[in-house]
Amino acid sequence: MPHNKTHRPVYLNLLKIKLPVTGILSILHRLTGVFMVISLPFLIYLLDLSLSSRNDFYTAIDLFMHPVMKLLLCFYIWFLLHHLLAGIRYLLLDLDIGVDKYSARRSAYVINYLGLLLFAGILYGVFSL
Amino acid sequence: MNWRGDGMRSWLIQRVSAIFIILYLIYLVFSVAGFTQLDYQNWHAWVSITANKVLIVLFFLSLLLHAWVGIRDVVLDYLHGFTMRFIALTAIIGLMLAMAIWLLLIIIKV
Repeated sequence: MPHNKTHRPVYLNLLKIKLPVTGILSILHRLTGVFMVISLPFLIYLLDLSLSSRNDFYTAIDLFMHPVMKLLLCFYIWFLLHHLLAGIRYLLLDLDIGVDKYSARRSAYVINYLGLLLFAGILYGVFSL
Repeated sequence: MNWRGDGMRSWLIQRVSAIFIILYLIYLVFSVAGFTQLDYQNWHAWVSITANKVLIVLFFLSLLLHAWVGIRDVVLDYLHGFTMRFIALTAIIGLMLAMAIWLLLIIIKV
């Protein structure tokens, strides 16, 4: 805990910290990454099933007939797309593209909302199948 | 430039692996979209091609390296003290090696 010399309030309560849009993109990049790493064993299991036999292949497909699994799939695709888009944004920042404050904020806005929009589209697509 | 101490190597690994992951995913999506039908036969035949097996293993190694750099940053940000970090990072390396071996076994038997 840093020593508070000036007696200003120090808010470490996450609910009281208002992140800028670039911060929201950043924490989502991190959370989506951690989520995808945690789900990795399950994905390898699915790959194993899909290649074991004809029956197992369809067992893997049938798992996604359940509404809970459909929802998880939608979230996974959203997280993957957000992580990809935010990651490409970071690669561009490394190339000195869009580094100024206005561009950086605008691209973060676009990616956060584009992610939500894609999520809505994916929900519609997956549940209407 | 010091490649050992200042995180330059991790920085480069993260970006090179990211680009390879993106390229592989594009290849995967276009390949599967090109199937006459998404069934076991087409999928199994696609994975059986040696070049695709090599790409899948390379993809997974990139994915694990990418995951390792990312997760290590998260651990170093939120866990403090040598013991906690040592336990967490050792467990994560163990799980990642286990997943790498698992994937190799799956691909080899196809």
